[in-house]
Amino acid sequence: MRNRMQAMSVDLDAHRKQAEKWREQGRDALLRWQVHAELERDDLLEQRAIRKKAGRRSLPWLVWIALETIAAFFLVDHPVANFWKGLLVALALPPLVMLCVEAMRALVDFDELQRRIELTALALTGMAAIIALVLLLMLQVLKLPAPPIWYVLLLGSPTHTIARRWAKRRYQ
Amino acid sequence: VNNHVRELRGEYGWSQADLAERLDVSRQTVNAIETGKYDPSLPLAFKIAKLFGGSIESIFVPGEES
Repeated sequence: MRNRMQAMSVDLDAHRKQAEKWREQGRDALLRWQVHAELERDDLLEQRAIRKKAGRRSLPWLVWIALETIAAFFLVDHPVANFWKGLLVALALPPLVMLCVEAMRALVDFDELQRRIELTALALTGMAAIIALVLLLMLQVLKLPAPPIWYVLLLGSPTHTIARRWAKRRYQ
Repeated sequence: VNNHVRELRGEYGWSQADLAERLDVSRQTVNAIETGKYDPSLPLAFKIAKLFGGSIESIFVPGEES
């Protein structure tokens, strides 16, 4: 009976130690997760600051393009000489170029790993856009029902976000 | 490429954020270098070597070729 009691006590001690070990491991894991989340947030804030700066610099060019698009929709149903329509298209070039310049500036502001992540994401987005364009063109050539070509532009943003997340994950 | 950045950083008692600030890169970059997921550019490798007062080959060691 005494031996049995002793064995039970040893068992209880072992269980207690095991439970304490698990609790400690749980606390460690939680702490690690908290530290990781905090560091991630700092990294994100730094990158967001660069993107925000680029966004602010790009705003006038985006407004310019938006106004041009509105003007283009307005001109579609009006009898205007082709010269003016051509001029409208030509006037869209400077803001588009400036948007590219701002994107390049933002890339330069990033550090080398962030730049690599961004460039990988851009390359993947570009490849996805080319695939989508070729498929759309094939649908059009075969005279099958196809969505308008500008849908490719709409797909650009989510594709870029997914590609960036994937590229970032590769280096974590 | 394997490296001894983590050990060296530990010897100096710096956090990843401290080292990142000294190298003028993000903490994410330091972490990726330490875990071997990212090989730094030559200028950054030189910067790291200079900071730790060693040569590039004493910090960065070629990994086994597959």
